[in-house]
Amino acid sequence: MVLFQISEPGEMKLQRQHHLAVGIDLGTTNSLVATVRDGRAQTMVDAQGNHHCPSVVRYFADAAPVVGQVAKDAAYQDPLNTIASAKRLLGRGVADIETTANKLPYEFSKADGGMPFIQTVAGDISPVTVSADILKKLMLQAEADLGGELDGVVITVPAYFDDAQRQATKDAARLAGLKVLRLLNEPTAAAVAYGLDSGSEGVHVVYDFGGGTFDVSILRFSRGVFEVMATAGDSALGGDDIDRVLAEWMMAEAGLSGEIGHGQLRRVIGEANRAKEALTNADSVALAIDTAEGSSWQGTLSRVDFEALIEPLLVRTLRPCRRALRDAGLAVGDIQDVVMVGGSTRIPRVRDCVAEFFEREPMVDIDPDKVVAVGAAIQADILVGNKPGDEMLLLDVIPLSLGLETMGGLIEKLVPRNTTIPVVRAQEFTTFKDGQTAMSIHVLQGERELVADSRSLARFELRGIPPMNAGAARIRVTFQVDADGLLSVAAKELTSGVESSIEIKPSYGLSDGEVEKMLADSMLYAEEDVKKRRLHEQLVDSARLIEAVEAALSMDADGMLSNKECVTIKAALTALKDQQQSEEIALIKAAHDKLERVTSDFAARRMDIHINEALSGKLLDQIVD
Amino acid sequence: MESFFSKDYFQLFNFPAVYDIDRGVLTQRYRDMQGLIHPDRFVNATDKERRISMQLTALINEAYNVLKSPLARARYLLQLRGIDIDDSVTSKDIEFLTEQIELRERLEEAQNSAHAEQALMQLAGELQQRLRGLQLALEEAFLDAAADALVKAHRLYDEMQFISRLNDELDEIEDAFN
Repeated sequence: MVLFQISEPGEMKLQRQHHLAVGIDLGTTNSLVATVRDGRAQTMVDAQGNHHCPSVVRYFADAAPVVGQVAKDAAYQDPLNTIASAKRLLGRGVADIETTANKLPYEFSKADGGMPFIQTVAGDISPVTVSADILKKLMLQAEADLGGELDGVVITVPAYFDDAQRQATKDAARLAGLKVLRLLNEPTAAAVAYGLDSGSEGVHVVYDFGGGTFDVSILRFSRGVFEVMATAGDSALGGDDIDRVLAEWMMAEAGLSGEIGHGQLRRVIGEANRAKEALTNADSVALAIDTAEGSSWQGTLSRVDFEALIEPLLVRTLRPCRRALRDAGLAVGDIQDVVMVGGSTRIPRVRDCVAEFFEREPMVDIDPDKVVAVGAAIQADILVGNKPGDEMLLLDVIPLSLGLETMGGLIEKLVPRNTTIPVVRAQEFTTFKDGQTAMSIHVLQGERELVADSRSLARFELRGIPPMNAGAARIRVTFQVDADGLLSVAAKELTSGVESSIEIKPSYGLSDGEVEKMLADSMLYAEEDVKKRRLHEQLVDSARLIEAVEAALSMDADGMLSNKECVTIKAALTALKDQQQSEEIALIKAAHDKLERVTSDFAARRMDIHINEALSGKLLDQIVD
Repeated sequence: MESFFSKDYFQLFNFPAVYDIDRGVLTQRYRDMQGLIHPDRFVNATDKERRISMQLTALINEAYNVLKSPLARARYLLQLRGIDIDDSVTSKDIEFLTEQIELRERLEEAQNSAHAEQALMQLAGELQQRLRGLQLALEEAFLDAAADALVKAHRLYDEMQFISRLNDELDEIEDAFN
């Protein structure tokens, strides 16, 4: 029997509308979008009924780019303008890709010194733009399917992505016009997808071997809380490398030297990829590649030989597994189960290898290609506010240590790897010379002791230090890593109060100005479109604020606010609501900022009181326990 | 939010300021607090609330890290009781200094031995046992009301710090073998 639900009269206005939110797995090879519908998370299909969108974009001289399968199909005929695996270049510097680039069939432009741009007929394209084009396609697909503009997305990134790679991903989302609720680590997303399904308490390992990256994470799930205990990996190791090893083997067998054209290299890699997939089920596969005009090479590859060829790559995945276990302070016996994620885990030898190492059969219940997107959708649904009262919580960590350069090219680590985020850490430094008035601050990420071996994230200067004797100044440097894993750094001279701070924008990333400029002249949007998107973003932001303030007022206005404060807040609230109709971004923004300002004290008071109340409730519970 | 930021780490977690704390209760309280204050709970809140949530969560994370680590907890408790810990001053305790040298030599020997992996594992086991012993000694020292109890706790802390560092080095060496 179905009972009709009738809510209390007062409850009506608090009932929230359903927000549209999706999770996006922005993969090296394929990308997916998923959403929660009727309480179930599922991947969404495009007009042709495909769940996967190949992460490939083809650029044209005088037309909009195309994304997905159509672009992938054109990869052989138009290799230089068809960009695949752009994720491997995200947040990387020109120097970084010199090794990778030799293996990637594109022409790079080194003009800017910072980020590598790919030369195409549509001009120099950054990997951020390629990613933005993919995100934009998935966004439009989701919006068409859900019948409205998205209120927010969760985008997944490899756990082992460093700050630059995360920042680049967020920039891509911004270029695509998406509101990012959270960057979520891929293995954590996978664990969410499994954890909520099986509800199993205990320690889980997520072995994530994707197209371009390898990650392993160890998570503890207990009473609704996922706690990442350790993560490790290799952000430049993936299924692409398996294809390349196979391609190199074929080229050697066929007597081809390294000097082959982009188009031909693409075809050989394509053949390698086909062989790899065929060997998942077959014991051997027939191969054929063109060697020269009119002639070709034919051969066969057995599964046994294939496994021998890729063994060194598999061994490379076990090193991070060992380290993650050690960092988590656990032994193999403490592990409850191992979850497999990523297309490369379809290879039988990979599964065997994992089973041997962890001494148990890995779980493959959820399609390893979809599990990340599904987990992201679940988290997006919670974060956007569709499941108030949901107890699930994710506590994630920073994958790589963060530090500063000190004398002699050494690194002082401020935040060690696997520290739970968000985190704020401060340390004091002093001057080296008498009368020193400026200090150069060099921010680094990595596990090595030497600056030369680590990733340089940013440099900035603290100026205006009053002249003092060497060692007399006290400069406090504060690192803050937010829940997305993104870093900002502030420096302050304590005796004089001189301050300097930056949002970390990696030397080879895009500056805020560059993102704005790309937004403005991007072929993604007509000018009208850009305005519309911006207005939409502002309206969503302000609607969120209005909802938050109204909820706060109805709950706490009595008792926490003086009459005068209440009147001020309500006036600012009404003003913002009025401006929402104006369609003028500047006016709405001004009213929005005003409301933020006048509710600031109220917000602090509420949190103080509510958290104290809730905590003392919790602590009392435990005494009764 | 002064009520939180002015508390010490023990007060934050509602523990008396003693060395021996229940790790299970600590973890449960940590999770309960995270459930209330984590930024994921404030995605749709105002900027101010989001900022407070971030700072408060960072504070709770830091406090949890200190309280759950036997070494960091000892250091923090010494500081709370007014002992200034200066890492640049080395111990003058001859017995302890001799032992330090001996342990260093043993690490080197193990590293260069024919059965290095086994030798390192054995040394690791001894260090672990040593750390557990120090933990128990610290529990007592922090409860002791005697005038020199804190001096004793400080010395135990120095020892624990040395053994922990040696243990970290050993981990790194073992890492290189893998």
